Amino acid sequence: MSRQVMILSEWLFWSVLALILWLQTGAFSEEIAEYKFGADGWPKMVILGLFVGATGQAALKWFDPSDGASDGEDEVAVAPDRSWQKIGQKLAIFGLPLVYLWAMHRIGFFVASPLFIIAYLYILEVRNWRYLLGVTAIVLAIIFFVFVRLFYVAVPVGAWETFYAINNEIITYIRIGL
Amino acid sequence: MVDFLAGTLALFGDFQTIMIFTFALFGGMLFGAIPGVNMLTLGAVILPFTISMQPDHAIMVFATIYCAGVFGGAITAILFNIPGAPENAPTCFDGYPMTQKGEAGKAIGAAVSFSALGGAVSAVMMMAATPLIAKWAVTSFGPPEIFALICFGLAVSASVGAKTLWKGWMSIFLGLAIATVGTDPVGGIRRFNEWSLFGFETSSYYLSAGIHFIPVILGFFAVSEVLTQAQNIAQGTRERPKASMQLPTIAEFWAVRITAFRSMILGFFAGVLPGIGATLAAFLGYSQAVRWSKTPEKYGKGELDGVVASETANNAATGAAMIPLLALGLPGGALTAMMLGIFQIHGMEPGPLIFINSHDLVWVMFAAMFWANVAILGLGWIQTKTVVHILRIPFRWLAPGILLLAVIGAFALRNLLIDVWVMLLAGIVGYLLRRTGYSAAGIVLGLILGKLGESAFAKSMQLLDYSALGFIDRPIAAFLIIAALLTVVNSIIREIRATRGAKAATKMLMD
Repeated sequence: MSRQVMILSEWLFWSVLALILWLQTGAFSEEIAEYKFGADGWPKMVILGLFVGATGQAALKWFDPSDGASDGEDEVAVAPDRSWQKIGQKLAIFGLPLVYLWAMHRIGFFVASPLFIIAYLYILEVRNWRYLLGVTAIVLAIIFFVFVRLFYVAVPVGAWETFYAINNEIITYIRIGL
Repeated sequence: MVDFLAGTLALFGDFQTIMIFTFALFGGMLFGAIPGVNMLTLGAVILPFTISMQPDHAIMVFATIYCAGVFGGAITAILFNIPGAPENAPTCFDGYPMTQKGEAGKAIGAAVSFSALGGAVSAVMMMAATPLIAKWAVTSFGPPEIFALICFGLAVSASVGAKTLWKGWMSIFLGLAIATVGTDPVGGIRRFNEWSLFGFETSSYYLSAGIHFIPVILGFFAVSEVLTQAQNIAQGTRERPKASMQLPTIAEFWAVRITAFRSMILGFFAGVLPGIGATLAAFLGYSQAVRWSKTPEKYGKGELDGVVASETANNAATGAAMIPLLALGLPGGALTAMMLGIFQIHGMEPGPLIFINSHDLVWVMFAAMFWANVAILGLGWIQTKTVVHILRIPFRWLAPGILLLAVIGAFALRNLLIDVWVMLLAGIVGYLLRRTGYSAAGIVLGLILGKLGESAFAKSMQLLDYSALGFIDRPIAAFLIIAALLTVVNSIIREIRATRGAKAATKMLMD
């Protein structure tokens, strides 16, 4: 992507975001008897700041031809592996936590978590089954003991009936003797 | 002195309190030292559980985690070039090159000793200065001054953690925008809970309560760090550094005494500034060490002075950061913002009256901070010898555990899965913003100070009859507003100079 396109895309992103937020302020632009600026005064000021910042940043970069350097984090100069396997791995790093959360709502924390840990370890290139099971067991043992048994923390128990029962059984088992 | 002894007695008077103190101390050090998590993660995970604790225990836990965590973050900065928190960032400049040179032990040893020294001296100064500042604040600080102070804090923090000044300001405005979700502070009118876009309409009760800062903090710091490290593993760019355990000599300690003293003073005064006290302190300490050195060219290549300057200054700021929090109710960073949350959870309002209403509790906190720094010295040396072994655990084994901890922390806040979704979303957004040079610290500060700022602005406007010139009639507010404007102008000038310097360097390389 050329430099100008990148600058324009960044400006467009922030400007569209600011525009959407500005339009939403119409829903609460009610007058407040004791306050002249109303409920939307401050948010509008902030949104304006966001837009001015984005525009100033874009203008400064646009008119500075020597500014070709990336603003992002310094990256190691390594040729990226563009195989499907690597792309899939990188997407899974982001996607798996989202799937985990989606599943946790339905099958509960105690069923979803072991599956998530094993899958995430696998994505992070842990292939030895002893490590996969060992790390999962240690992480779960610590979390179950500290948070469920010691601190009595509530965790999602699942919306699906069977899993709801399983999760509650596990909680009862973890808290035996308390 | 009597108050301090009473605080110490309350701290070590019963076994349960000692256990909690020890847990917080080790927890802060450990979370500060483990890559991918930091004291903020621990603080955010523990915060919901403090609801059921006694108020003094809850505050003491966070004060101890703060001291231990600021130090702990130096270890990852030195060993992995990953600062545990923004205030440890300058420690990377010389600490990591020292590790690469096989002098990790020396760097960690210096960090332990001068963190403890800076923190302990700062705690003593805090005990002496906070009540005085609080008394002064009662009569001098109204909503216009608070608003001016927030403006100043944001102006100072604008460039920290971001690649450019513009990106710093954008990060802060984004945080301020997130803070407007919920109810407005004057009329209680709900904002951004109903969305209407291209004929599509939706509303959310969750948004009526506002976006809580804990899931956002967990997302921006813990989740985005895991995603970053996991991507590095996938790309094969993550390397394990070597670490040796050769400690600094007494002669080396003596040689850095002036740097340490200068950083202590700078750190304390910078720490008082609300916004980013410890971070600014560390950068100031480091930049002044370079400025006054006879061999500035050695900095950035593994100079012990650099580590000492940064670590003394950021720990000296820990005690000072409590002054605006306690005296004015203004948090200096994400962890002190959590402490503000604890005060509010337990029905207390930090501000000048806290010294009257919660006198004992404040002194327990002071004592905890002092003794935490003393303990850092002892435990830090043991940790120096052992921490390397803990850090040998591959990050790929730690990553799912860190995510699980974050999920539990976000869910436990209100038992809402939507908080966990917010956290994950914040993690992904944080990852992308970091890659493009925006500052997670800026967003979090904007989010935390946004509500306070709006409330103070609304009260000020009502008080000053909607005249912005009213700020100028009040000396402290005028001073702070002018200081904020000067800070902005100064940072713009520095930005221009840095750009010109970069251009000149590029031209030289091209030639």
